[in-house]
Amino acid sequence: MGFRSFISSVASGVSRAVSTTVSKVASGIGKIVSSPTTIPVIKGPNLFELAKKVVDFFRSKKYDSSTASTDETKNINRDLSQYAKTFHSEANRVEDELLEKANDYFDKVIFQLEDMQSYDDFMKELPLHNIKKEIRELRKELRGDIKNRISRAYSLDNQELLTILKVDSDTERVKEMEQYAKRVMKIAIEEFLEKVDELSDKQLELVQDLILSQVNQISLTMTSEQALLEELTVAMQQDEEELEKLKAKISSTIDLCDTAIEELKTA
Amino acid sequence: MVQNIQVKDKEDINKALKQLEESRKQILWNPIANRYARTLERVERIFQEDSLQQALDDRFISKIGAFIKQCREPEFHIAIIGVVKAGKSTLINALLGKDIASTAVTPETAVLTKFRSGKGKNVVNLSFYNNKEWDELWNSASENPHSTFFKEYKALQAESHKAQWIGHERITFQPASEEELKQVVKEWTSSKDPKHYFVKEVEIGLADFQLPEQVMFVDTPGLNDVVRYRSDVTRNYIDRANAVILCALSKTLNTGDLQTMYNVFANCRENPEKVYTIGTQLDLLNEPKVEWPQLKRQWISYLEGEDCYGSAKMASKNIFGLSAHMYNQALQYNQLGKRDQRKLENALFNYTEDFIDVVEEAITYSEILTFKENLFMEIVQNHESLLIEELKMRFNDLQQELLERIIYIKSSQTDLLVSAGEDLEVITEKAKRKEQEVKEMKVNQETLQNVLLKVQRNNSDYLKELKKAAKQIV
Repeated sequence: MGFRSFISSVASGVSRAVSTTVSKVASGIGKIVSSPTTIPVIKGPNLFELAKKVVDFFRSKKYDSSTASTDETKNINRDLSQYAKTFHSEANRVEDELLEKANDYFDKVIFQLEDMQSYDDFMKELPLHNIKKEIRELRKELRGDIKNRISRAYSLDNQELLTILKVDSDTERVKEMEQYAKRVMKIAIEEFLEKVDELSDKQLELVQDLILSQVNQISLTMTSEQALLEELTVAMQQDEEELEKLKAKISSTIDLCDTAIEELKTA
Repeated sequence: MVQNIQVKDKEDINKALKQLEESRKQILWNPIANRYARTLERVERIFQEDSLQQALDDRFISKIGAFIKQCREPEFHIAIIGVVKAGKSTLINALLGKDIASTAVTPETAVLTKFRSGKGKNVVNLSFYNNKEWDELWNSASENPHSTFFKEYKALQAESHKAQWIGHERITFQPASEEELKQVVKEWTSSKDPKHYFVKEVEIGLADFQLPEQVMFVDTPGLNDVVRYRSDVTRNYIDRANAVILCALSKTLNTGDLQTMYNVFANCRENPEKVYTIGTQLDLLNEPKVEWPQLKRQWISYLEGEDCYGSAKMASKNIFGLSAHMYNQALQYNQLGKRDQRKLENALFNYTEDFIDVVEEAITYSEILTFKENLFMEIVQNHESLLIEELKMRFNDLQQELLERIIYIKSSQTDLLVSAGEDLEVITEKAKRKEQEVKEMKVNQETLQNVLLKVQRNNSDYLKELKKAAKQIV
């Protein structure tokens, strides 16, 4: 796996092999890049259901935090938590849909790279599975974000909600709650999408790291080879002593590599 | 001419590694983390030798650096939140084993205060709001224009100090004594001093930290701060903290206290098990051993619902009664005046009528040590084992990748050594070919970078469209 097998498989034609890979990546991903961006269609939350829930729940529910007893506080907190839960499945559905759509573009890129692993020597050696694992973890961290935001909005830790719950008139309270419920859903979705933006950046960074880091490594090693070959040419044109010095330098680098390998193998 | 690179033999590098070993700070929290970091630090040292300095790709080097940092500085965050007058400072003092919180953190101060190990030194780090953060804070304060925030801000003429502190670089003090440390913290967090408005965070490193080294103990300003921006900081902190200690006065639990407690749970609905609810000042109860179990039952009934712990069993497991004041007094018993000694004896009398050793028994009945030694360690250890699992996996990947790269570098050098035995003509030809290959590689790198940049741009455009579409759905 990794460099070793790739380098040994292509012998002296490393740069040519990488060139082939790069042109394959460029054309493969290029297709995705050049395809027109279609505006995603999203099925939003059921607002009729949302409004109905508000009416059912808040019609006779008044709570004033400044005069409430501990039992009233306990009851409203439980009720609010139950109420917030009624949104969970809808929140998760919207979240799944948004996440799937948001990752659609990126997943195509990953799929393309994965596909290339079956026929390209360089790509085959990239630890794409590690990146996929990290991406899964990143996406997992986002799971339940909308649901949690909604839960927080329907808790006593929300001044706006406390103000609405204080309203005397049932009709007025329900009306304000309907607006509030829509606002909560809207803000939760918007803030979730901000997080999706961050996720997207992190995902891309992982892929960039994966590909560029290895290409950069090859480039660095080649540049060093080129410099040493030039030194070798100059040394050979001078005298034996210069050549021996250069050989000693290369041998010393090999020794250093051996020491580092030993350190890693005995870790 | 051979470039002026000092040729070192194996002995030299072994000597350098020995020196590294002697000066290297051991990682004490876990031997596996120490071993991993040691290995990578040694490899890093080898790659600092002239001939290998440029041999590894920067992106990969930063990956190694980040891993070592994670091994060296794991942080386990414990947030502490109290209802009004719950004795939060006294509890912090008891857990830290020193009288520092009462003077260090004034109750009105809305600064996040972190306590951690100073690794042998007392250190105070102050960070300040930048312009953007201050604007956000100011805007959120303006939601409540009649709050005390503006009255006090005006009274202290804080506006005239703003330009000096907003965006100010981090300031570090190294106080020589604990007394000096308290003075520094008091100066920067006192609500009587206008500059406290601009301090975002105070980090106190204690020379003698009596909790595990990786613990970051955080005193949060609370969820009912008059400025929403600051209470949001606490909210985010609760959400991210590994554990939350929530304290409330055991004797009386009023509606306001209960609301504060519910607000904490509202911010960790996904993992309420990380909240440890502490009934404080048990020593103020007439008969703590009889009354606390009754009170605890009542607390369980408030917190067992799905809005909090989710079951009576978990509530029972996570609710504790402590007497931090009694513990602190016991620690200083010999320095107390007669009156305070008598008070402590009276408090202890509420627990047991026939005590023999006041200090020892007050410490035992306070339950502080049990909480600290068992539970505290348990939650830290649980976190540690998860972290170690993660480190193991990441180390294996890094080790593999690093080996591959070093073997590649080695084989390239070995090929060059073989070339040194070839004719000048062959070598000149190879050098030319290599020059061409390097050029090709540079083009490849550029092409690849451009492709990835395009992906980034397209993805960003696509997300903008998605956001637009999402706006339409509610």
